[in-house]
This record gives sequence, structure tokens and C-alpha cells, in this order.
Amino acid sequence: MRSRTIASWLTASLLAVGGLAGCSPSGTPDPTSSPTTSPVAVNTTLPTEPVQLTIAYCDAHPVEDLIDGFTALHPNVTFDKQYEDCGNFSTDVINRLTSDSAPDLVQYVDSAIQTVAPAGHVLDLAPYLAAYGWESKFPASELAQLQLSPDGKVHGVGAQYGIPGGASFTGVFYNKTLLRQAGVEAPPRTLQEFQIALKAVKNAGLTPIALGSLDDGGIHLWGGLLTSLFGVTSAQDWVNGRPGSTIDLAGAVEATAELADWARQGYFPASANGTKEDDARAQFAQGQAVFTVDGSWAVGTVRQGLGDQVGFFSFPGRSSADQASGQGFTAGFAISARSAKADVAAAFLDYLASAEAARISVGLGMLPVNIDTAPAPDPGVASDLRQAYAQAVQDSGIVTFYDHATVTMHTTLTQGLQAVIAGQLEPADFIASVQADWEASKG
Amino acid sequence: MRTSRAEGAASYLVLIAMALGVLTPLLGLVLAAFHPPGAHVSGLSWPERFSWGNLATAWREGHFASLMGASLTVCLIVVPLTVVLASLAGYGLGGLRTPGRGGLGLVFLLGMTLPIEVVIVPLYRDLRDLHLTDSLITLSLVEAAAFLPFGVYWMRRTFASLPAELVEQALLDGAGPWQRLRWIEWPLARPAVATLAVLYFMWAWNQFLLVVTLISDPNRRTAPAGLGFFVAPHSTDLPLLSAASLIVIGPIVAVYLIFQRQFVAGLLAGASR
Amino acid sequence: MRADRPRSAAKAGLAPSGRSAKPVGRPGPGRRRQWSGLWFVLPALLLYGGLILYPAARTINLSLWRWDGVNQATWRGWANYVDVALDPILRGSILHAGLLIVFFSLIPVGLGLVWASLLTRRRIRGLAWFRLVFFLPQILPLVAVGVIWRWALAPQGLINQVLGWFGLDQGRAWLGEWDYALIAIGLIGAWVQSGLCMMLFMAGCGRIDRELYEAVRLDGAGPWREFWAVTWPGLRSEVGLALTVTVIAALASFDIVFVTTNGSPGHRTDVPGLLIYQRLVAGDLGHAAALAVVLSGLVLLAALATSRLSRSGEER
Repeated sequence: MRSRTIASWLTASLLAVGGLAGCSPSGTPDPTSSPTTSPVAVNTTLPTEPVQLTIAYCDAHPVEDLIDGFTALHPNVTFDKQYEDCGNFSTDVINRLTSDSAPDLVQYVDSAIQTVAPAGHVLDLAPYLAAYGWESKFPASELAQLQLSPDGKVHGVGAQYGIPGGASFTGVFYNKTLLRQAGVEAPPRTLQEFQIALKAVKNAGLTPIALGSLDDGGIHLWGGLLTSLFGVTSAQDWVNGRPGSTIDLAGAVEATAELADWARQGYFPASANGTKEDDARAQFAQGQAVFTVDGSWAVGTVRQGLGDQVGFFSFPGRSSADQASGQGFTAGFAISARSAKADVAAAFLDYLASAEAARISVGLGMLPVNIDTAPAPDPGVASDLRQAYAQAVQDSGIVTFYDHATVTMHTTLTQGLQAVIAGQLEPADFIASVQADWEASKG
Repeated sequence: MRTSRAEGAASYLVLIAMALGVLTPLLGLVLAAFHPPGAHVSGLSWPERFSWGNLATAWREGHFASLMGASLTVCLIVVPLTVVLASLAGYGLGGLRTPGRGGLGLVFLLGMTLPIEVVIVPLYRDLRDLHLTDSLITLSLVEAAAFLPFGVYWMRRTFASLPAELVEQALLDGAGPWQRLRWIEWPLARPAVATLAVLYFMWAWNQFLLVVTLISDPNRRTAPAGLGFFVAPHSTDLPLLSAASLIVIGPIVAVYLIFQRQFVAGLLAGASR
Repeated sequence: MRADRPRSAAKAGLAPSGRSAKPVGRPGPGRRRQWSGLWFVLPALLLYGGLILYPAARTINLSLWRWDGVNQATWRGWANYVDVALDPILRGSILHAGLLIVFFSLIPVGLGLVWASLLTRRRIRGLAWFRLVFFLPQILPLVAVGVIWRWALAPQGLINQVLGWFGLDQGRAWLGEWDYALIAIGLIGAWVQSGLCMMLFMAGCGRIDRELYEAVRLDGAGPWREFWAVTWPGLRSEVGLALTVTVIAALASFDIVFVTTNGSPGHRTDVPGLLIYQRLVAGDLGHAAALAVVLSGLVLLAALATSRLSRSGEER
């Protein structure tokens, strides 16, 4: 490594002296190092000699558990595990996949793959899809989330760049004891019932919603309102980047206005904008709030804190007849176009469809890739979550996380929602800024 | 001096208040690091019993063994390299009648006002195209280049202020520019060089933005960069986070305390040179 | 990181300071030019030129394009600069940096002057110890400073604990407050820079001729006149130096903001350094570069202005 760096420095100096270092920022990779997009022939049998795969990921669970499961079956395959905090993971994936030392496998991050896939840094899995018969092993809706058009702008069409490793789903966690204490007997089934419940909780002197809008908490709460009021189909088209889509419509503004109203009513702690979602989850798990809008990854924490006192329901719609919905994304994996061990990496992807992998995910309180083949979860909140998720899958109500829409959308949404919650930004202006971000990227 | 007793007391009061203002947050960090793992620490609070385990846990979970190794490597490359290059250039500009030394001095002076932000954009992309990122050598060279303008300025003033008689003497002895630097001027400039070396050690240790942009593998970054990215996933465990901070600031505080006499005096003397 | 380079850099540099006012480049031996001197300068010049000056020039080029760093670039001309001037987020970051100057520079320099003038009137015992303490925040990695203050400013943190003694604790998350987040970051900067200013001014006072004080006191001057007649002129160059260092630190701040707020709430604590980093990693290299060029221009202007102050001190 070190001697290679020195050699590279010498080459670079020579190039500079020769005036060959170009001046225009052309992004076309140099043809000699340009990765191939698809392997010529694929091999589905694992080698028997020792092989090491490099993997970059940000969700320690379930990724590390799945790796352990795989290596238990194939001890000759070892992993160089490169963990990075999720907050910076997207950047990291862009850097890693475009670098010489690209890992063989990366946890699939939408915004990063959108950037690097068009330049050919991500392997199109089509040959493996056929060789392993993945189309029959994974649900079509989950595979679609990991498909991308050649220009990287539209989801659900084009090349298969990733394989799902586990699903996530957001909704409302509630504290059964506190809710009864506030005089509300059953969890709300419509938005209106939710509003009534929030008011009752507030009047009972309790904190209605634990919210950490310093990072993702705002997006998940607003996303719940948005999916309900804006509608699943228009929302999904917009996130997918379908040409001509817009979020600048009455339903989205109404959802944002509702959020602003909840903030005004004091339904969130005053420190929400300075609180991370992790911390808000901890507050909820300690019984400091009645509701929190969070994802399936929170099950472990809230169950540990509240035991059987905690329940889960999908974010309610306008009427109880609306399709069940929630945001979610399948935590998938992609293979680098530069990987020399793509065959071995693909064998790991195939393992994700196995019953063994499903058992590991469920054991962690998570949602399995394929609910049909997975074992039943423990009773309690994990079971509530599974039911809600199954219903949403059946109703086609899973919308990809809104911050996946563009590379910059995460910042646009977090910062904008903080301003809305602080009462400093009009809902219509917020929605306009969100659409402007979308158009700057897709236009 | 005719000053009232009350005024004297007031001076001390102000100094002590100021010192407390500096030390209290640091004390809070140290105390927080010894609370039981995951404890909710509010404000400045004395742990009921000291748990030393946080340091070990933070060391392990933050991969600080490799991060500290990287930090040390960077410092070991950057400090000697910059001290030697800055001394040479400072001598060329301040100790010799080099043609164009005024203009060259200005070119280096410009570098002292250029924020790192202005170079990271192309460095981030161009070095990647040349396959030079993710290397501590590259990082060290870039840091050295960024730190050089100050060192050149510092050494130029140092050499320029050396007593001329000594140099005349050396000339009579027939010494060339190199011999003069090696045997007369460099030894005379040693205190300034020592100050510069300590300062460079601190900058190299504390550098953050360059590290996170030039090294993408989180486990091969330096200690402060590791800390910056240790914060988000461990923000709910304050004792652990505080322990990690202690690990990162430990070496720099040690170097400061060991060299403080020469360092502080050297800097203040330099400021008025 | 970044801030501490010039932060400490100009510490001893930049402002060609002081009483001695010695011409740079001593009246060396002989009158002949020494071409061999270039060989001594060359290695430093190559490294600095190749890794700082050349990339800086590249940044100017990049600021005229739209480029995501991976795919083909498209020409934008001045459009990125127009965005820096008009886009509320980009422009806001520059305004925020301007406000931070108050906290990183003006408050520490003001405090430092008050303390220094107090100290000139008396011999302080244990001065070395105080110096040691006051300089401490300067040497800490700003990332660690950020961690320390992130906690101190949290709802259950030190600041609220202290406010609680006066019955003022409302459990606020200061770094998440719309109106206070940027001020809170400014106070962190003041904490870092105040010690430096005090130390510089204390050292400067130590070099002021004692007889000057005796003289104005014989004239019957009070503390106020004493300050303006002796202390201030004597400290002009130190003040210029302190302003240079701290203004650069304010304009080019990154580490503290990155660790504490990352721009929240609602872009209220965005600073240029943070946006450059964010745009860089989000694949918006054109805007990152344009903002970096504007930032460099501002830093250069600030450095010129403050060094002028110290130079005029020198002329006295």
C-alpha cells in the first residue's frame, strides 16, 4: 500500500511536470481503470480456498449478524468489516465505490448509488438475478426499490443494483399505560382520532409525542402525515423521481401545516429541534412521552424500556378505510463494479433470501425480507409491527423514505422541518423548497 | 506601584473567575467519563463510584488503537518535514540575499490566509483520480503543505533577526551558505525551531477537515477525526463519549504540559519579534 | 483542524509586530545577490505550490462548473457565484460567519483588554499558572471542544445547571433553539479565543515601559486616561494580531459546528466551511468551490484590514 502510494506520487509529479494534469473538471473516469458494468460469466459455486470480502455498512445490526451467519456456513469466507456511522454513510459510499480500494460489498444507500451507478461503479446484478433465480426468492416490490434507470434519476426501472437484506417500516409506537391514563382506551385508527388522542394526552399533563427533529425524527413524523394526506401513489411517484411528479400540492402543504399546528399546540417537547432521534427514542422508552413516530429498528430499545406496555400501529389515514401505509426501505447490499470477488459476494446476497437469514432478522426484532417464509415474531410490539407491515405490504402502502428522493433531500427536509417546527417557515414555502430541490436534481 | 488593595483583590477575582470558566467544562468532561456506562449525567456531578471501564470500552469501540497509530504516524511525518523545509526556506528568504525574496515571501504570506476549505474541493477529487487518497503519506504531505507558510514566515523572521556580527565572522572563516546554516544559524535558531515543532505537532494532531475528506476508511483516520464520527452513534452514552474525548485530548495536553514553558514563552517572544 | 491553523498561525505571525520594527532580511553579508538561496526555498515552494496553490487555482476553475465529481461537468460561468449571493442558505452562512466574528473576536479582545488593563496596575503572582490555564482551550482539538460544549449546552447540561441556581433553568436545548443556537456556538468560540487574547495582551503589557505609567500618573491621570494614553497604544500590535487570528477562526469555522449542530435548526447555524463540506460530499462541487473562493476573499480582506491596524500601531 505504502510503496504504491509513493509510486503514484512519483507518477503524479511527472504528470504535473509534463503539464498533462488536465484543467477541465471532466468526470469521465480514465479508460484504463474504468470498471466494467457487468461480469461476462458468473459462477454460483463457492470456492473452497480462503477468501476475504470487504464490506462497508452502517447498520451494525443486522449486517454483522448476517455476516456471522454466513461465515458459520462457509468458514473459508472471511469479512473485513468496515463500519461507518449512518449519518455520513452516503458520502462514504460515494467515496469508497469510486476509489481504488472499493469494498466488494456495500450496504445499499439510495442517494449514493444514484450518484455513482450512472458512471459504472456499481455492478448490474442481472446475470446473478437469472443464475440464482432471485426474482422468485425476493418480493418484487422490494427488488423494485433497488432498481435504477441508467441516468440514476428514476427508481423502480432499469438495472438491478442491489439485493434486499432486511426491511424497515415506520409507524407510531405508543405507551399503553400512559394512553389509558389520559383516558384514551384504544389506539387511534384515523387521523382525526389521533388528533383527539393527542389533545387528551396534552390535557392530562403528559407529553404527547417524543420527537428528535435534530436529525431524522422530523422526517419520520412528517412522512407519516404526508403519506396519509398526500396519498401513497403520488408520494411514491415523487420519491421514485418519476418525470413530471410534484409534491407542491395541497395535500403536502396540509400535512406540513398539521405538523406546524402540533408544534404550536405543544405536542412535542420544547427541545425537539435540539434532540436526536436516538435520544427521543430513549425518552419514550423511559415513559416520558405517550407516542413516538419511529421505525422498526426501534423495537429493541422500546421493548427493553417498556416491556409489554408498548404497542405499535401504522400512521393513521384520513379514514379507517384508507390503505395501510408507512415509510420504509429495504436495507440491501450492492456489489462494487471493481470487485474481483463478485461471485463470492453474490453468494452472500443469495444467503439473504435463506430461511436462516430471515430467522436472524426476526430474532433481532426486525422485519424479514420475505414475510411469507419468515418465522413468527415474539408476541407484543414486534408482533404489532409485523402485522402492520404485512397489512401495508398487502395494501401496497410502503413508500420509500422521503429523504431518498435526491442526494441533498436529507438536509433539505431536516433543516426545513426544524424551521417549520420552530414556527419560522410557512408550510407552503417549505413544500416549495422541497420541490425546488427535487427539480434541481431531476430536471 | 500605588494601587489599592481592593483593586488588587479585584484583579485576582477576575483571573480566578476566568480560570474557573475555562476549567469547569473540562472538569465536567472528566467527571462524566467516570460515571457508569450509559448513565444520565446532569450538569457537573460527582460519580458515586468511579468506573474506569469507559476508557477501555471507548478505546475498543472507537478503534482508538489504530486511530492513535495513524495520528502518531502523521505527526512523525509532518513535524520533521515541515520543520526542515520551513527552516530551509526561511533561511533562503531571511538569511540570504536571495533574488526575488520579497515576492516569494508574499507568496508564502498569502498561504497563511488561505482557508483549508479552498483547497479541499479539488484535492478531494484530483487526488482520487491519481489514486492518492486513503493514504497517511498523502494526508501528511497535504498537511505539511498547508502548515508551511506559517513556518516559512516564522523562520524567515527568526533568521532575519539573528545578530549580523556572527554571520560576518562566519564569512571571514570562508563558510558557504550551507555551512553557515548548518553550523551557525540553525543552532542559534534552536529555541524558535523548538516552538515551531511543538506548534506543528498540535496542528497535525488536531487537523480534522483534511483528514475526513482525504481518508475515507473510518478506521484509518486520525484520533480527532475518529472522535468526530464517534459522536453520532454514541450520543446517548455520555460517559463513553466523554471517555473517548479524554483519550483524544490526553496526548495533546501531555505535550502541552511538558513543553509549556518553552512553548508559551517562545510563542510570546515570537509574537513580538 | 482548519481554524486552528491560522488561529494559532497568525498567533505569532501575520502582523509584523511590535516595537522592534526590524526590517526583514538583515543587511546581510556582501551586496551580491545569492542565487543559491533559491535552492533553499525550492523544496518548500514545490510542496506548497503543488498541494495548496495549484488546488486553490483549480478551485477557481471548478467554481465555474456544475459537477458532481463523478459524471460529466457542465459549464455554468458565474452562475454559482450568483447563487452564493442570492441563495438564502448560501448567503446566510456568510452572514452567520459575520455574526460569529462578534463572539470569536470582539468579545475576547474586549474582555482581554479589560483584564489586561486591570493587570497593568499590579504585579500578579502565579501569572505563569494562569497563563497555562488560559491557553488550554487553544490547544484542544476543536472536535473535543465541540463534544464538551454539546453536552454543557444540553437540557441537562452544565449551563442549565448554572442557570438553575438562579431559577432560570427551563430545560432548553440551547443548540436547538431557533434564536440561541448560533449565539451558543459563538459563546463556545469566545471560550476558546478569550484565553489567547488575554495571554497576548498580558505579555504585551509586560513589555510596556513602566515609566510611562508613572509619568501619566504623575500627571494625575485616572485608570481611564491611563488606558488610552499608555495601554492601548502599547497593545495596538497585539490587538491587531489577536483580531487577525480570531477573525480568521470565525470566518473559517468548521469543526465546532460540525460536531455540535451540523447547521440545525433550520440552517440557523450554517457556516461557509460546513456548507462547503456538505456540498462537496453531496456532489455539488461547483457551489462548494464558489463558496470557498468567496470565503477566501473575505478572509484575505479581513487579514489585510487587521494587519493594517497593527501596522498603524507600529508607526506610532
